[in-house]
Amino acid sequence: MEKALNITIQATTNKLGALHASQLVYLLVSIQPPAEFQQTRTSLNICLVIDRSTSMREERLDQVKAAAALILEKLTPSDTLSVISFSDRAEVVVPNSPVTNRTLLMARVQSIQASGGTEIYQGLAMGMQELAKYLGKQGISHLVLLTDGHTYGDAGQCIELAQRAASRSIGISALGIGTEWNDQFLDALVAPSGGQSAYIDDPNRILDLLQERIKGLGAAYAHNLRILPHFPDNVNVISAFKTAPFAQPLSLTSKGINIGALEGGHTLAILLEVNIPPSSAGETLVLPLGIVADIPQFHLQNQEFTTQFMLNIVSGHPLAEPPNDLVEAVQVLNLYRMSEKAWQEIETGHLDKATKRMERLTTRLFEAGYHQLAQNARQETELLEKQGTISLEGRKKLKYGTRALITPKNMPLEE
Amino acid sequence: MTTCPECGHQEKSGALFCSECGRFLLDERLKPQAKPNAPPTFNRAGSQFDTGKHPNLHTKEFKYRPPFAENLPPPPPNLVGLELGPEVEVQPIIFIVPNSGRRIRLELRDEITIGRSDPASSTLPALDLARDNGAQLGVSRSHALIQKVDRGVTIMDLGSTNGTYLNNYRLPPDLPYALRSGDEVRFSHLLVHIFFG
Ligand SMILES: [Zn+2]
Repeated sequence: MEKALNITIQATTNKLGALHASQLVYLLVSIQPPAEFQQTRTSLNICLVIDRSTSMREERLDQVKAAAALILEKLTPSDTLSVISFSDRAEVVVPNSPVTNRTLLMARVQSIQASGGTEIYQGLAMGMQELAKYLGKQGISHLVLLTDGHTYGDAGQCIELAQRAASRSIGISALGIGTEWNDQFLDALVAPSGGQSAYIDDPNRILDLLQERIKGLGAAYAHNLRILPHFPDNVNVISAFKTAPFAQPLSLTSKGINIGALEGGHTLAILLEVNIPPSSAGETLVLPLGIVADIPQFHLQNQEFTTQFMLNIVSGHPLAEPPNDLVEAVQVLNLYRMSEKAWQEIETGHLDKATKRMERLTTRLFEAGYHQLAQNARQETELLEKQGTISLEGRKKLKYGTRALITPKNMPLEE
Repeated sequence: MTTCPECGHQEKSGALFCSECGRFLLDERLKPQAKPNAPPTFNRAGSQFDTGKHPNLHTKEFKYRPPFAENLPPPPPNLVGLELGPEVEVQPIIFIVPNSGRRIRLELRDEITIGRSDPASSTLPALDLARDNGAQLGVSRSHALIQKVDRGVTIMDLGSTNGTYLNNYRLPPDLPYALRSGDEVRFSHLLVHIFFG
């Protein structure tokens, strides 16, 4: 049997100068299905958890309903679907069942009415119960949260739930509509399972994103992927970032880094920032990397594939000539982090620092050719100078805009 | 440790970019090129005018470098002896003025005059920088000229009071210099990004 996963590692360098201080190496790990694999469609166990709080005004809710209707069209009788709506409490709109009677399902979805507050935990918990009915019987279980608001007081519970979900191989994606929702919360919610959080500025885009997600999941070749860095002592992964098929910060846990699903026809790429301890010339650092995955068509569960990267420690200052892809990924990650830092500075009242950082970010975005984002950043900088804050919309455009730059196909279009 | 040459921030060895100011920390040659991430109107046509001798336009800051720094490097080579790309019929040129956020698209048939309008003297340049605070920033009424020539596009300072800077090099007046998509041009203190459509 051909190897069931193709894994390649690119690094900023494979020769490091011996130093008394620690240093950084960036690794770009690319994972692909084998060259000849059967593209089969995986059956799906999907739960839509829909925010129906008052703020989901008619237009938003209508768009969500329309998107749900079209998603129904994409699902087959071998898939199962449930729909939950929530405000201060949650209701099962459609109990989890095979997608056989679309008309009936749609009528139920249409009945959702907006009213009340936003308590996401109730919705998630009920969604998990529904998914559990077909868990393991279906290829992929995934919960999609659609919300436009902050949750109150239960954020911690939500994150714990997301962690439990990940340990049971249930993925979570979160689509934030409008500008009020808390992006840090949604990022944290999807991180345990390596899912996607996205910003929807135009309700018409709900369908696109949802469709893309469902399509990607249905075409998954492998899922529940996890990176296990079996690195020597003192060699640590400092941060991990998914760069393809969509850009998403990842969280590091004691059980490795959950990176989600490997969708057919796509590369799954992860950028790792690795800290190398002080080392002496002549040493060779071997960095073994395990990728754990479930691959249904080979009946593999929790199968680990290993590869390794070798780093030679030499004397002097060897010239690093990192591959272009890698430099660009790191560049965008750095831009993204600059915008995150500026936001933190605003939130903690360091406005001068934030303004300066935003100015620099504007310069860098222009320099890198991201003119639309640079314009956004410039406008927000002015707002910051005048009003001492940046707009929620501006922040989200910048955050999800810089993030999306990392994924070449998602490059935003200029006017 | 690596010290950022621009802001002085200390980064671990091996860092590629300054986490404070975003500056690229390795050899400039390895720096990523600006992304042609735009639809056709924004495509960088720069490569077709690439002389290989022109200074790297992406290494220049437009914001923090004092515009009239002493000891400027010598100006870029002028057109004499330069190989440019093939002639293009009508070249749309896009000007982006970060200062005002304006984006102006003009067709380059023969030439585009640049300056600031002035009611008193009835000057009306094709690219009027009066709206971008040009008067306060020292733009002359008749400041510079972009021309289509048979081997590409040139820019020429028209003897302006405060000068025209092409990628931070001050152009001597009345001499045409090769202009490429992606170039940064400063008319006195006013920075403009120029792209060929
Ligand atoms: Zn710096």
